[in-house]
Amino acid sequence: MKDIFIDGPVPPAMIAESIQQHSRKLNIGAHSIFLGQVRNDQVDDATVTAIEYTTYKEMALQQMHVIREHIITKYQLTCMHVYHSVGVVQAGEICLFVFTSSPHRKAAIAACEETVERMKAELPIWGKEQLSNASIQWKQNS
Amino acid sequence: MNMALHILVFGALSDITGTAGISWPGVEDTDTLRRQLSVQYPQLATIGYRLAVNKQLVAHNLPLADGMEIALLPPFSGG
Repeated sequence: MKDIFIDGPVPPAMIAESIQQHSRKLNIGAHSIFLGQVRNDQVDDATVTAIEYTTYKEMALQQMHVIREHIITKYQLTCMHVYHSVGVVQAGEICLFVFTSSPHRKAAIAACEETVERMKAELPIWGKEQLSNASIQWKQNS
Repeated sequence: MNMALHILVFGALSDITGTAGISWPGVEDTDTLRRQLSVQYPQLATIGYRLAVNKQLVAHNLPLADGMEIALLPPFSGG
């Protein structure tokens, strides 16, 4: 089972490397990439400076496997790569990287969007927001 | 019933229980467990959570047995 979790932020170089690695797969016509970045949300008089992510890892990996298999089949993807941060990610850094590849663009784009939505809804991952006034707040997805 | 349950506690719920894992005397099913937890930790009602047993979400009352892995999951906030 693939481990989607990496410690800390997704380094920008990882995205470039993923693109480079896929140039060998000559049946791919489209990649769709989603990047989630930690945003400096305003909370009263403070701002979010970082998010600390935790996960129920074994359950998350099991559920991600279900999501992956479903979406690869549904959209006939060539491949899919997903990375989610655990630990602290500063505002401005990347915490989620979803990369879907297909012979054609519509499948890649639709698959990427559906993957992001399903991950946010179905994976046991939690974010604890660190605020500029040294307090914390648990993130709530919308 | 002599078994003890070990319950994993995630996210904001761990602020309420004060720990990421709690030991609990064995109970016969998940409804009973929820009732007992709400007595011990009344603040759980303010957050709402789902139960997972052996890494599967539990929607209905489930009989519990020794060795089952139980987790309290507040609303997810990944991504």
